[in-house]
Amino acid sequence: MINWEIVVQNFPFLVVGILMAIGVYTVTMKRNLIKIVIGVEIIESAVNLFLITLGYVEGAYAPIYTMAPKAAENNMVLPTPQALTLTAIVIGLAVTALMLALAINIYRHYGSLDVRVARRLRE
Amino acid sequence: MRKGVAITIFFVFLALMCYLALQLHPFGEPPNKDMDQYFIDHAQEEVSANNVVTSIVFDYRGFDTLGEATVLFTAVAGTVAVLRSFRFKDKLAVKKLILMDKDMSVIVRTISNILAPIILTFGLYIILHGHLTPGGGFQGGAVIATGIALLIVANAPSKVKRMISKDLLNAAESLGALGFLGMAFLGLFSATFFFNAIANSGFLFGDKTPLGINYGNLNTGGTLPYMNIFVGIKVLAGLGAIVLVLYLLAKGGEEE
Repeated sequence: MINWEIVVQNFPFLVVGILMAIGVYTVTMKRNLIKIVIGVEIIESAVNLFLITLGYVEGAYAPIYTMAPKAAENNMVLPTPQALTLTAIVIGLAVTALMLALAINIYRHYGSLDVRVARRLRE
Repeated sequence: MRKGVAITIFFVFLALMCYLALQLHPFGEPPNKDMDQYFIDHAQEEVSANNVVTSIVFDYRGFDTLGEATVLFTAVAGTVAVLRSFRFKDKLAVKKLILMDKDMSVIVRTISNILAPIILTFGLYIILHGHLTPGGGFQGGAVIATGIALLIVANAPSKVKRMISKDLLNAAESLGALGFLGMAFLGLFSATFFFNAIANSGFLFGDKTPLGINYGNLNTGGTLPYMNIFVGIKVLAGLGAIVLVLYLLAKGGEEE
């Protein structure tokens, strides 16, 4: 029933799917804020990996002309997904810092990182 | 009960994801690559950059990068704003703060003093050669921020406060953002927003790049190297500010 050749060939996409599922499970089911931040990070890595694997061309070279091997002429991977991923990594770092800062503030206010505790408006 | 529901939902979602992964095109054979082929074929004559990825980031899809830079700016501003009002209320914590105000061990300080200049040089190299080799403003700025983080972590908070001020980093980040926008507006004089006005014009970084595979000429790229430098300043200042604020917080809160 399952076409095993496609399973083997699309293995990078499968890895993306598994990472995505783990990340979504962590974000929705865990109650510790730090674990939720880790889950968001896992989803982010999955998305980055997905973009990069989308643009991969079998046997191709990086899209950079500087001192490239002769075989790279007209045989390069798609550059647009790489351009998207490149900025997303640095943005992700800054957004993680923002999430952790909010977690620190919640801990200061409530004395706990549990999402069930931090659900009322105060002060 | 709750655990069982959670695990069921997880496996259903996992199965859906795996099914979708198998429905995609075969790995390594993208079905439609006309747009990317255009970028690969024309980046050298239109943008005069050897690195096709950088030419997309700062030229073809420059507007998108402007949005990303705004997200970075907002995230850094939010982090600094959330953590700046942090103060300890009890006396015990203040006593601990004084105890904690000392350097890390001699080994850590020596190694970080040796490593930090090398990391900073490497980051500058990545920023300046962004249009020729893998890298660019975002990556180089992150590398330099790593070097700054090394210096910050190895030294005592009082010393760090004398070395780097948060206001300086915030001003540098604003400068980087304004410079990036300025280079984008430069294109308005010849054609459109984000048009590469300096490429092939003979100005600094304005040489023609040889077509096809070549050894790379640093004096090419048009607005790309300028944008790389400005974005590099922006990223290193932003990430440096985040590390500084988090470090001062971890060492016992920040007094005004």
